Amino acid sequence: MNGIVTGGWDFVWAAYIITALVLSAFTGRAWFLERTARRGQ
Amino acid sequence: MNASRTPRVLIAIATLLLLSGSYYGLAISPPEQHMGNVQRIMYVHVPAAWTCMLVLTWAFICAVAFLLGANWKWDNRLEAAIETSVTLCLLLAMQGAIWAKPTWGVWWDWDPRLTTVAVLLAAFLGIAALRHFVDDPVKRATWSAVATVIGYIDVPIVYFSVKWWNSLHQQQSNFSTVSRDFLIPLFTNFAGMLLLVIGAMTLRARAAAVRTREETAPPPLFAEVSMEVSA
Repeated sequence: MNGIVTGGWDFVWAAYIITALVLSAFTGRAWFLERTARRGQ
Repeated sequence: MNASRTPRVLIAIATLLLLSGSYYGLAISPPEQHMGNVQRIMYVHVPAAWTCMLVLTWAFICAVAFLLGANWKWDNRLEAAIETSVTLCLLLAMQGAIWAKPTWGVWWDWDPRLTTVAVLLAAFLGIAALRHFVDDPVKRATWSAVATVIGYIDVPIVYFSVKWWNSLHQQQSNFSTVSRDFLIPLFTNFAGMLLLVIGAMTLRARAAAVRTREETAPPPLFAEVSMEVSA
């Protein structure tokens, strides 16, 4: 392939893993806060 | 469907969409001619950018609705939207840096697009901090709604920054010139990210609603007196 960008998979994996971690943490936090608030009522 | 279960169902559907979109983007889509495999980052970076802009617009709508109607449900939704905006802005900046290193040779540059996104992140991080440190619910809601309306001014500037100034960041693509193999993972991940964010924001707004009810409820002593008077 005549690509002008060399390498790449390590950057691709880094981007996907960070996306998965951030979205999981964000969703998990919202889930936890809602459950805690509901049980505390 | 039971309304209390709706966000969980949305999150489950979103997870399936994100897994299938990411699989397509990583395993089925071919590498791009010039950027090679690095272009696969586009399948998570662009959906995050679109979702972030939509959530910021939702935050603006919630802020205006609260200022006009003073209904607490809009403040609860605003709280969820502000936190989501910060998360997505941060994710966007990290994905962008990972993309920038192999394509531009640097992790960060004070380019118009990157700088305006950094301003947006700083503004909404500040609004989130303001909500955290102000105890009075009325002041907290009003101040953060006004700050959100002001902060939202940066959103169209972010969008048009690549057109107005000579930016390193590429301009928006024309979909008619993009291959179907690139569009499938892009839109599948966008649908997944949007549903995930809607589900999570609904849960977060419910948690905020419980706190708001506690904060705005009359004190117990006052409640007893008013019951005696009415009796």
